Amino acid sequence: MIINEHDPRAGKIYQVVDEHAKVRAGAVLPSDDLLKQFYRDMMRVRAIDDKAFKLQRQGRMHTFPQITGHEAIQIAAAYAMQEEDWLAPSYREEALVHLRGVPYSQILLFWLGNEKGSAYPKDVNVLPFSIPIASHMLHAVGIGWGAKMCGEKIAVVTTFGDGATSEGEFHEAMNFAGVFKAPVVFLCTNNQWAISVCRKDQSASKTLAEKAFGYGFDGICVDGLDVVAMHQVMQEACDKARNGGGPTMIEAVTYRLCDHTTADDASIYQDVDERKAWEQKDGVRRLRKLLEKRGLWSASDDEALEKEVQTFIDQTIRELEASPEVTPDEIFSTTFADMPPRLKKQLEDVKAS
Amino acid sequence: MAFEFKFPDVGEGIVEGLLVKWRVKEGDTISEDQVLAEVETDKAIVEVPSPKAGKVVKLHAKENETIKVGQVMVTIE
Amino acid sequence: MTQRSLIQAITDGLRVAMERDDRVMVLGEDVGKLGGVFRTTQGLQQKFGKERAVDTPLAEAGIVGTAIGLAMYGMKPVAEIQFMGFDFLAHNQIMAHAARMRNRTRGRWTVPMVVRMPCGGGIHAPELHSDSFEATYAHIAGLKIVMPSTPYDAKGMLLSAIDDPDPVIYLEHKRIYRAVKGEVPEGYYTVPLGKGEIARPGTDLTIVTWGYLRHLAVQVADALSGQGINAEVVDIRTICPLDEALILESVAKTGRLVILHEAPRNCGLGAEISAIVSEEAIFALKAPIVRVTGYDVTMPLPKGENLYLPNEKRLMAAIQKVMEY
Ligand SMILES: Cc1ncc(C[n+]2csc(CCOP(=O)(O)OP(=O)(O)O)c2C)c(N)n1
Ligand SMILES: [Mg+2]
Repeated sequence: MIINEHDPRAGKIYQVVDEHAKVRAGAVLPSDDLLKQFYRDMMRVRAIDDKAFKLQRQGRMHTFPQITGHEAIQIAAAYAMQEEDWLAPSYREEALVHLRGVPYSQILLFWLGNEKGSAYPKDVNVLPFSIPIASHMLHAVGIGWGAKMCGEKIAVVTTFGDGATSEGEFHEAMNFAGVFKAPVVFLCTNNQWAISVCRKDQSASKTLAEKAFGYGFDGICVDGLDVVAMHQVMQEACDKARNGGGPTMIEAVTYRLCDHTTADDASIYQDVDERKAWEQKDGVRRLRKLLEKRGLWSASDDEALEKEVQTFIDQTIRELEASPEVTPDEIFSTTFADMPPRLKKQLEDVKAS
Repeated sequence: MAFEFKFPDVGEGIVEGLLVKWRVKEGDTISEDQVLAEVETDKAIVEVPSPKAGKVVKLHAKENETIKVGQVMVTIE
Repeated sequence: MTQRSLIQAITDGLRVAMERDDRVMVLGEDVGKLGGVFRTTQGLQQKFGKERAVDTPLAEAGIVGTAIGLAMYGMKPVAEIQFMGFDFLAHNQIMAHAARMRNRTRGRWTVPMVVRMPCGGGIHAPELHSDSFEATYAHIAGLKIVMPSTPYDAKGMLLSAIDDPDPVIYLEHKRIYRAVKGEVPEGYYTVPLGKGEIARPGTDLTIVTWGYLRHLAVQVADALSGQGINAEVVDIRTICPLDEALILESVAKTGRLVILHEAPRNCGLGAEISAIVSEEAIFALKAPIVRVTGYDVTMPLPKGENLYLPNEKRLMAAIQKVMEY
């Protein structure tokens, strides 16, 4: 077991592929195909993220959070999950939510502020992006608890940031999960920042993962820019959850290589040199190096990928911008199962004005 | 057809910005998403990219001028 | 006098308070180094240091709960909740503790703290960043709730709130954060809490409102004067305790009342105002009272917010209704 062999309290961070793309001796890598798939997905989600940022600057998108520096974590998590698993995501999880089956155009539609963006396909077990930090983690525990009662072997993954670990609801979720041995994977993306507050000002504890031990289960720190390490640990934690082993907390260590959201300016508080140092460790570039080293990537792959990415972007933006305006009915219809007379009257009022 | 690009609301509740620097000039042929200008708001300095490819026909503001959200910045053809 | 935006007036108010009394401190998420996500606390950490302009961990109950303790010990905390939609996490601290401490200790301890929070819609902000929940606080005894709508009032009422012996919820409507500018005197001055203001005098009908909508109401009232309708706009400024006398005086003069608020209609402050006028001045009324409010739905995401927010057209229709009755 990787998880209980890497105690964060002993200062261990699990890594398989280092920043120079050197593979740890004896490590088992995913199949060549899967590695290449990781890379294609990373490039695709990075490109659409960048495009969405530009749309915002052009007035074609509202406030949204970028995911630069989070790609490896989200992609590893998505590929470690199985179809019947559930996801209770934080808001900065566009790639993960997408890879769990939600069209990217729909995700962007939500950030554009169109209610249609919230109508996820019915067959995906993905909760809405949670805007109030940490509060959704309790839902994940409840879902896992319910699945356990029904004898269903699923894993529930819930994601959150370093800042989230300061909220009371984080601690309540962790405690309930420990007490009820809920099949939950607590995936914490420690990107060193909660808006402008740096990691060490957020908590006096040395790592975030070590908080798990206080609730009676294991925590582990993983290099969040190493997609291979992340994938292994996520798989192990999900398997453990499915097989009755209870919860795990994974602290994916990375750096937010973008503003908090499009309404933010990280240059006010991020140190340029620190950020540059982290850019060197970038997960996308690292995987690319690994592929090249192993002779798995050629110029023709680049060409094909470029096309794939462009098609994906074009189609996503087309779908996004073709979406009809929000109607009064959409604002009112999902308030209750049946619309009370008072709301019907108000709806008439909106339509008339 | 001429397209008028208006200074968008680039942050929550921003009403105006200072045009710090033009990154294109009249007559330039530009590509989609190419940076047109740097604008400073109360919250940040932002690069404003073009939503369209084409030719810059007219720049509607001068450097160091305050531009309002919704005001035409550039005409692109 | 200097022209300042609402944000700048608040920053100036905080600076003046911190200069006057070194027990005044600001605390909250991102209020220090960044100067707040709206830059409302910009420069305070540089000037007063990290101990008095404090970036706290991300925890609303933590911020308000410790502010209560700080206030009880004699400090003067000004806590910030980053957006009103996240105040729910602090409700227990505000409602079960801050509001009741005076009563629970038979007056021995009080909680003279201020909790600032941006509220309101109209700036295309994401989910839970645009709500108006002021009425939820009005239901809790022991809390003062204010929402200034001009830079002058913003600074003066903030200084009053910091001086006040009881907890004050200080609401800042984001739509006028930068959009409204006005004259703000230098240095210390106060605008009393619990007092409304006639934003525009008139004789034919009374529009009672607050926050951003004060500006819409004045604009509509000005436009109507050409049509021979002279509307009086009353900006209540303080949600609780309400300046009932000012509202009743105005209604006694005009005989017609439109109440305008952005918060949902159901049990909104409009209902309370309407009840007060019905109880105290029903015979002064020449027409039934009309409310223009947000609807009883979840605050829509940005693309739908204009369907929700009261606007000129809806206000005009209401005015017509009371005038033609
Ligand atoms: C309960 C709550 N309080 C405050 C906010 C405002 N806010 C949004 S994101 C954020 C920082 C979150 O940091 P972290 O948990 O590390 O996640 P990251 O943004 O780094 O992904 C804050 C304070 C919020 N959304 N919810
Ligand atoms: Mg973070």
